[in-house]
Amino acid sequence: MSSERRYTPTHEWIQSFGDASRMRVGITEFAQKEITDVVFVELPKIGKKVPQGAEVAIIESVKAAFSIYAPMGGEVVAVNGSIESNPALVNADPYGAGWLFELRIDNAAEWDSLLDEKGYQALLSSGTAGGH
Amino acid sequence: MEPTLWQKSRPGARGVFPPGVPPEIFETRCPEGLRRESPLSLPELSELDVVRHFTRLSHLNRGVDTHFYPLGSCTMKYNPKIMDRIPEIAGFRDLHPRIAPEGMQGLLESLYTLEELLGHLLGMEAVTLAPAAGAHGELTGILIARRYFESRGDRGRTEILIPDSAHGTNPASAAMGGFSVRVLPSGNDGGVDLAHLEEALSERTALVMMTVPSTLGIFEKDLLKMVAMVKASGALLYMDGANFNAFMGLLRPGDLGFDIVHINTHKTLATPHGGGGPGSGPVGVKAHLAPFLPSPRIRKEGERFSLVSPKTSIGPIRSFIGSSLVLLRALGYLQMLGAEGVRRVALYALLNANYLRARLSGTLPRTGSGLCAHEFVLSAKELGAEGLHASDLAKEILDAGYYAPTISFPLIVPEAMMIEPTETESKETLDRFAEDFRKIVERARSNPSRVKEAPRRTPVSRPDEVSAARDPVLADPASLRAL
Amino acid sequence: MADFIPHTESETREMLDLLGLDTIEDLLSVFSQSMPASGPPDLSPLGGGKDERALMEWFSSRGDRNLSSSRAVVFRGAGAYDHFIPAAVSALVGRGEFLTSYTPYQPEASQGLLQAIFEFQTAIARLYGMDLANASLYDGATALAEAVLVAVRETERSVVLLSEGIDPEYRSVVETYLEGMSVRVEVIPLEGGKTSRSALGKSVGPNVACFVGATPTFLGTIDQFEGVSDLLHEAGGLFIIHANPHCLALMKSPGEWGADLATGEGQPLGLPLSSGGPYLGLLSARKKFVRRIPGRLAGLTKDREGRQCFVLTLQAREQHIRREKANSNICSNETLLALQALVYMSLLGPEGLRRAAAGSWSNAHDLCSRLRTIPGVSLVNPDADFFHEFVLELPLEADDLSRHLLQNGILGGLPLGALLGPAWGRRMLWCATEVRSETEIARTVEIVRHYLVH
Repeated sequence: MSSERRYTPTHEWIQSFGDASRMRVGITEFAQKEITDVVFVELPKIGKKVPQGAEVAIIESVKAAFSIYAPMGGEVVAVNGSIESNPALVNADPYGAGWLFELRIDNAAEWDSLLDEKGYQALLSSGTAGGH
Repeated sequence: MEPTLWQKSRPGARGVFPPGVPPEIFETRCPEGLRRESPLSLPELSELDVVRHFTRLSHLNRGVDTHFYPLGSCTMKYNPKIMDRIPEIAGFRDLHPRIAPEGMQGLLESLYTLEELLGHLLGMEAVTLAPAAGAHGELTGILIARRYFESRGDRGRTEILIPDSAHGTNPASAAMGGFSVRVLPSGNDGGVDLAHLEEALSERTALVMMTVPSTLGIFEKDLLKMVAMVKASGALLYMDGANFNAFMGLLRPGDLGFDIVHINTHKTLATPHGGGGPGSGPVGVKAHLAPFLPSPRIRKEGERFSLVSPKTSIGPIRSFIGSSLVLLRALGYLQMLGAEGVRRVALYALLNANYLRARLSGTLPRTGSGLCAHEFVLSAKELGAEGLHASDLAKEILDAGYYAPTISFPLIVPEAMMIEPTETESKETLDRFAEDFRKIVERARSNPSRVKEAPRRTPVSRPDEVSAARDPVLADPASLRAL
Repeated sequence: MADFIPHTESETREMLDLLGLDTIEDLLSVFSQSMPASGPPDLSPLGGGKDERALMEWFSSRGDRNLSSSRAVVFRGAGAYDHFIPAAVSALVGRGEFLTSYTPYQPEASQGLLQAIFEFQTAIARLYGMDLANASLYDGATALAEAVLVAVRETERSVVLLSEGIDPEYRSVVETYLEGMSVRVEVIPLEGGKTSRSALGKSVGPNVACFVGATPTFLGTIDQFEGVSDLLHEAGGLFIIHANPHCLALMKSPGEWGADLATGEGQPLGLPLSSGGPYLGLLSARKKFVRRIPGRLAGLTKDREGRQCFVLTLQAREQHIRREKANSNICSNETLLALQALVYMSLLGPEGLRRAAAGSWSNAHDLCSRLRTIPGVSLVNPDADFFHEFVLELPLEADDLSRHLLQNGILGGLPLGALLGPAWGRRMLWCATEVRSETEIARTVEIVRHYLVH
């Protein structure tokens, strides 16, 4: 799984940066466009344990709120404090400076249930991509 | 634009001179640790400054008195001026709420009369006037349901079923009442899908909340079947009566089989919305739920009225007896209408909505078919091809000299525009609005970039809502400058 | 009969023709399938309708059966206060552009109310010494309950400590609001009119979501909160103060006591006694709780031309967007009364508010010292300072004195037995505001003296 990025049908991405048990989570380019201007991100408390698929954060635009689900189960070990003061980062750089939180994952096997780049692109082009 | 009070404040300026004494008397006699040390940063203005400020602000605001307000689900009807006199009667306006019932017989009689009239109109055996708003009524009804099941030792009913087309207050009230929410998806016609309801109902279901007519302005064709299904499951039926204006005097929630209903006096009963409140949300219940109504209750014995707090009650949900001055207006309205007027209100609400619906056909597609109730929903989704949203059309409607319809609700209709004319608007107004609406939709197709720039004729153009939400400024910075 | 329907007969005919209907009754077909077996309702109890004159006669005659302040001089508070209200207040608040408008969801057509709400939020935040305030809640009791819910959500804890100094009916409202949650309410007793420090110290712990204090207390005493903020914060809980806004013109504010959230009943700010409502719930908070607090918020921004303007903001917290995940179900609030309070505060200004508050303080102390000279009458909690309310112990049942005073056109202090139990049967909660005259005070004291001494 090295540094590959994987995706959920609900438009989260997850990726490890060196430490295979510690994964970073964000939303995709498609999602940030759908959400439009992000005005606030309600991040989880560090130490919170979440199963795969559980709601773990909420992203707000001016007129809507979007649930963010955990791509894999685990414990929240870090949150991106800079998006609290500058939520526009999620729009500007969703795969980089606009990441949301990091998980220490419980079960590496869950990785296999996620979409790879090709699978996610296929989902988007099929036009059946559900919103958040 | 009008500067804020603090931007206009002039140190040393004096407004009204109230009764009182120089504050130094307090300062010399009250211990230091109890006194306010930080300065009191309130504006300093003359009385005329204040009068001009708020008069000018009123000019920047649209009300039913100044504009047609086709705002769906809000029933923005005319608020009769005579009702403004009732809260001015000294016997009500200046009555202290903590006086023994002997000192408030006129108030208790009036409120008791309103309870009885609403009981008749709703087909319910008992009514509470305590809730301060519709959502407060929902919470009240939900807590009553909780107590009811507890009283029967039935602790497994933890779930409330709510259609996806419901007002957001329904699920929010359910959550506040400690229930989990299960959403009922709508069928193709926008109504509750019987199969989904069947599947969702279980021994865990405490309550099913239905809006009648639905937020699409449609009377569910299978309503009586749904009621029977819910009853068979042992759950209670709650009616969100926000749309009471469609059927007041024509149909009674109690007769349909509902156990609990709330209405909004600031909608159907013509009490003014006041820019967001005060409202009032009376709740009616069937006899088996009456013991759980919030305290205090008004009791009539002979010609004497008193207040009681039954042990079975859910307890008080607010201070004192209710939003009396709002409720008295509602009572006045019903008394003025009488039996015939009440029916005419609902019939003409149906007529106006259907007339406007017919006049607008061919502009934007409607969700639903056939006659509508007191309101109807159009979808501006097809204007998405022009890069436009319902919210853009709303701004053009403001420019044409109206308030805008409700947009982005109900959530199940993409780019919804919900239109409710109410019975108090004339045919002439509806004709003019229909003509203007048609032109606006044509313009949206022919010149979408112009619509993106609307409104142009309002005191301000579109505010930057993104920066307002990213970095909220909720108090006037000028109020801190003075410190 | 009036029904406010503007249609002429011929217009109704034209409208029905467009719809292809014979009569307006044909519209009943919209719910033919949901018509119950019982058929159309019997509306006879609604009567034949009334004209304006008959209507006003009906209400005036009912109003005459109430002992309002025009017929009984008010020496009673206990959550509802008889204050001076300038004439300009109703003249401005009654303007149709405000009265008949809706929640300002379309900002371009609602700048007047949006700015007024923003100014109201500012005035309340400054008065309470907090960073921000919301656009209003229903009343003081529900504002307090909502503040408690903020603390429960914020801390995810299950014990709520309420000072005995909080109005017992407000405490009941909090319990009703918490009915569906697994939260336990514990009352921290008053000692000599102030929250017992030893009891509070014992109860604060790792499960405590918040402590709520009141000042002045329900009994009128000024409570003191040195160190309470630190005590709560060290234990991870929140500190909430419920305070009377009238007294805050002179009294130490919740912000100065270090509160995280503050609530109040806005009725003393220019609202009449109103037979108990509608009133005005006040909620203010430190900035860090901005996204936790319920209710609408107006914010400052700019339009496309860069002009100062106002919008409802942070709406994604609210029920119409978050639905069951919203931080409250509140939708309609008390905007018009917030406007009323704002107009009142603007007309009086800081000096006027201080003067009125000092008048209340002074009149209440005058009344108290005169009543205490009557044999058998004593002040309960003599060691605590009070603001404009105080409790007296009488040599007989307070209900008897109350009835006697009412017969003499005086709404005297509130007999406390019914609210606080039989041990309080001889105790009475008195209040005097800035509007009470020397003559009214003197006459009342003489009637009490005469009744008690003979």
